[in-house]
Amino acid sequence: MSVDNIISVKNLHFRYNAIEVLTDVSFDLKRGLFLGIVGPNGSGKTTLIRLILGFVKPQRGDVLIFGYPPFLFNEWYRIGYLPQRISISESHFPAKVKEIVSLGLLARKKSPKRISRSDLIMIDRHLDTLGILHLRDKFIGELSGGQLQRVLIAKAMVNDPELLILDEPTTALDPETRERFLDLLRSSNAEKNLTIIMITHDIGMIGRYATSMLYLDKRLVFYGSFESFCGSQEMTDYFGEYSQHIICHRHDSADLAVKH
Amino acid sequence: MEILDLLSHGFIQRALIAGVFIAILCSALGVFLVLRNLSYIGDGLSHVAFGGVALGMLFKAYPLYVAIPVVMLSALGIMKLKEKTRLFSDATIGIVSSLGVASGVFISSIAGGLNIDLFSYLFGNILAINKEEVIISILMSICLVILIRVLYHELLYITFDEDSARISGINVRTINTILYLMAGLTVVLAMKAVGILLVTALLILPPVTALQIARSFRMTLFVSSLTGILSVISGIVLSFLFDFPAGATTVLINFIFFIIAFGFKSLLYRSAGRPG
Repeated sequence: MSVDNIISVKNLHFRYNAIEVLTDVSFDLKRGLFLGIVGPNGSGKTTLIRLILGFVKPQRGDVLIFGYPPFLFNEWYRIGYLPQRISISESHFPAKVKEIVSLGLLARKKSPKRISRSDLIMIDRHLDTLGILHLRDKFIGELSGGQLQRVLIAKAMVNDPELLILDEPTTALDPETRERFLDLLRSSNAEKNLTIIMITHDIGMIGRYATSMLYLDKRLVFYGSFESFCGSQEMTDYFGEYSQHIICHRHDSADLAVKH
Repeated sequence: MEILDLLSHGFIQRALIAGVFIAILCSALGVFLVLRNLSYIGDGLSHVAFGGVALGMLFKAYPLYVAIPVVMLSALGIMKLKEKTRLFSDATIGIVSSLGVASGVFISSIAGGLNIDLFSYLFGNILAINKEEVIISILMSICLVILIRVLYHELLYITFDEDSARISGINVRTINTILYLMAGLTVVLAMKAVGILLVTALLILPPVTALQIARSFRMTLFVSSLTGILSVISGIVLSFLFDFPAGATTVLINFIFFIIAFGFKSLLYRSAGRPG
């Protein structure tokens, strides 16, 4: 694996019970890329992330993350992660926003883990960046879906990770917040060389921000830039010329809307 | 004067000391169980304890000494079953629980039917708690408080989201194993206090009461423990003064605390213009 590769996936196969979820997926992700993972429901996008993070083991194939198989990797502070959904009912969870965001700092700390005054300053800075500093002492059960999503994004980013993995982060966000968040990702990617993997259903939207696209449909259908995606005969064959045109046209018009 | 009389009895002193520590154990542990949709683990494990007690009686051993390993193994069994089968928590608890009751009934029928001793475990009697059980309650409570103090952030993270906690380098499996084992031991101790049928109440009512009014995770643990302690003390005192059953009185008082907290929360939300 090249030193520039943050993730390396080779011939990955994953089956759940008798159902084939991923078949022979291979790709390398270089440092500093902003990768958008797209594909229909049930195409294996979240499973691919779960395999990369070692939550599940593949039946065949290899995954390396920062050069290590996930089960041998222990530098978790290098990764920020926003799951598609969390395991608890957040409306009843008795914690304040700052408590939840502080959890994102634990990977860097040795036991017994303590949150310091400088940690609280860092938490405030990230809440401010995401426009939710005023929510810092709110109970998370009192937040709207969009506000909670921003809290979880702050938790994933507070550690200043080298790799940020986001599973459908924009679904609960209003258009203005979504643009602000994606602009933040773009600047972090450009200025801090932050490597980003983002799962989304919105191909047109991600095309304006991502430097690479990975289209998954139980197998790897396409991996390359958005421009090559729009010009790819393989994609034309897959989507049909009309659908491909719609996706790429939406991309252009949305881009214009933002610029003006 | 009557209260001083009350405290002069050795069995009341033991009941109060053990009761306070069992209340701390159940109430603090219950917060983690309730928030992780494991509320009924107490119910399931207490049914297993019934099987363990019956087994102890069959072999003429001290029932708790048999119930403790049986319940702790079953707690680990629930954890494994949940991991391996990917079933919902309530389904895995249901499997282990029904196995426990079926084994208990089967064993007691071999032993010649349910006897008075077995009934005493069903309904519990904290006033009959012995010195060893008091010591175990104190040691267990101290262990739990230390565990919460040292691993507070890890426990909070695992309770909030296991997957995210795991990729923060937290050893989720080890901490889960400790929690499940503690749940098993706590259930056996609480069984002695309120009986198999009411163990769940001690694990659920204080946390859900605290969840109505607490404004942080730390405060939830504190309010839950305080609610549990006050309920147990009131239960013991009232049972002595009015000849009420101690376990049932404790649970009913706990329920009253829950109603008060729920009413308080509803009023608070109404005055703030939000639904309760």
